[in-house]
Amino acid sequence: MVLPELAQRLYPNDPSAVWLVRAQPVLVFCLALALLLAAAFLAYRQSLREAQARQLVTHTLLVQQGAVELAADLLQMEAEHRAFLIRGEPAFLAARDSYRATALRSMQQLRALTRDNTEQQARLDQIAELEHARNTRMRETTRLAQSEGIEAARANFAPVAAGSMRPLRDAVFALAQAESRLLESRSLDAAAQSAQTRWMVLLGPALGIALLGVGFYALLHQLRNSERLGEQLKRDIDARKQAEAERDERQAALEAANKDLEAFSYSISHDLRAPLRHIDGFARMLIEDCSDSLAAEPKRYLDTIIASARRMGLLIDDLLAFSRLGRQPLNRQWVNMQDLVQSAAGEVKANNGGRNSAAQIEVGELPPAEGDLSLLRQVWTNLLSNAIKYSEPRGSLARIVISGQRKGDGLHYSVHDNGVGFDMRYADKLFGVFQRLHPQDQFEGTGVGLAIVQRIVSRHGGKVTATAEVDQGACFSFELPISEPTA
Amino acid sequence: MNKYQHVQILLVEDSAHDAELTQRALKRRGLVNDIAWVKDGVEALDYLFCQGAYADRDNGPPKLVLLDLKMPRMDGLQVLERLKNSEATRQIPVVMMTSSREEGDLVSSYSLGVNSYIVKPVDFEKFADIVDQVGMYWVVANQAPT
Repeated sequence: MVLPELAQRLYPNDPSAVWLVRAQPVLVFCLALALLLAAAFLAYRQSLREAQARQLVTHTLLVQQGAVELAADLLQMEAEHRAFLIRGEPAFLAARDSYRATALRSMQQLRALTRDNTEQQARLDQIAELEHARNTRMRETTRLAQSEGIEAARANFAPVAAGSMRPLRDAVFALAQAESRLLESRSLDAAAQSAQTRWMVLLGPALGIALLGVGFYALLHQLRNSERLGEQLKRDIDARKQAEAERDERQAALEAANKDLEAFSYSISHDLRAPLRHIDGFARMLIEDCSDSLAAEPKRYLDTIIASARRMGLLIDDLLAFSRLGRQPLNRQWVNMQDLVQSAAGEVKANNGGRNSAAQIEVGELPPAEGDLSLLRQVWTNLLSNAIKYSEPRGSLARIVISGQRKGDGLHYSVHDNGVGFDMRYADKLFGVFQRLHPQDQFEGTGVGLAIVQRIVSRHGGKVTATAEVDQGACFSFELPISEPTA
Repeated sequence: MNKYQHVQILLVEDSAHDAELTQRALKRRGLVNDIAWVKDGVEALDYLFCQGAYADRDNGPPKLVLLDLKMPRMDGLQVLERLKNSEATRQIPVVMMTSSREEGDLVSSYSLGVNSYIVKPVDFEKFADIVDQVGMYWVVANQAPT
């Protein structure tokens, strides 16, 4: 489904918008369906109304027809009666009665048909009344004819004849006229309903077309959004690809630089040492072979040459070690600092310039840390050998205290000594490569030990600090960040 | 005198200075007359396989080969490989003597079967010391099959 992802991209902080977008198609469909159903319902209802109106028209026509027939029957009845009176034949009476029967039936039908029209019912009542009166009259006449002869009947009937038929005829015609008027209005109504039905019928399809239009527009809109999304995604992909390519380039450049450094240090370690060896060796040979004929000064010169060559060798070794530190991978593991320090301390004491140091080393409780075992060992070795070296003047009174604790989110370790200390004014030079705060003839060293310590510690994400007072000893401490143990 | 008499140590070293220093060190133990010196790998192989310029050598294999690593034409590792892969020379002790302390060189040498690997110290005293020890060990103390 493209839409929810689209919404999530366009409105990343609005979960209700996402839901809305998801529900949108369903909602719109339901709405359209409801509208179309409503239109259909309305059209249907309208056509029912139209049918009803037409029905009423037909009804009216029937009534009209009924009235006309009634009038005809009554008139025919009249005619038959008159014929009887003229010719005196009883056959006319039978005809008359049959017409009457028909007329009565018609009247009944009309009653039924005009049930809902009180006016017409009233008229029908009037008609029935009049008819009944007329009928009574005719019967009288008939009786007269049968009992006293046709002349008597004629005489009875004649003066009333015109009078009693007319009202009846008028009444029936009034009925018919009323129905005519009704027909007119109902016809108009029917026509109006028909027109409305036509509109209703158009409504449905019109609505459908409108919805289709809306749907089409919405579709276009979504398509455009999808396009936009697609373009954005493409841009993201391109950007990411470019970033990756750049990263690969940088990686390749780094690796090339590393390789160069490797070759460089290899060259240093091998090619630079050979001439130094020769300088040292031949100078020594010279002293050995010519010791008898050499005066003190020339011998001193040669000693100086030898010493310098040797120092250069040390510098090269230290520089090489220092440079390698930056490139070596860190093998992280849990390190028992306690054991490590004990071991390093023992080693440093034993190796101290070939003679056992008289210094006392106290190792406190040290929390474990995570880091590269061999590199951390180097740190302790360098710090301890420094402490021992600069405490040499104290002889057996030299005391070195190692402590460690967990402070906040860091592990602090310190090495305190009561040696010669240093001037805090030059403290910022302490950790520089080949930087020293004491002259070579007082304390030997190339000045790279602390630089190595700092490099290792910073590779672990920590930092080193040093405080001291001249002749009051020094404190070197480093901090390692605490990390969660990795299995 | 047969120029090939009493050769106990074959020194394979391209630097004349280093060769001189090594021989000086070995002199202290009186082994200097027992040293043959060749300047590169090709010559070393010629010597050990009694071919080329040394086709007429007949004094048997040396007790020790001191082999430098970096040499022109053919380097120490190639020489080592040839020596250790040949029936005739496999049993001769080879000690690599070089300035290089590179892990890669160490690994390669040992995997090719070097008997020992010594890094030449810059300090001559130490250098002499180690050459002394090596010489004494392999030539005098070590027992080799005849």
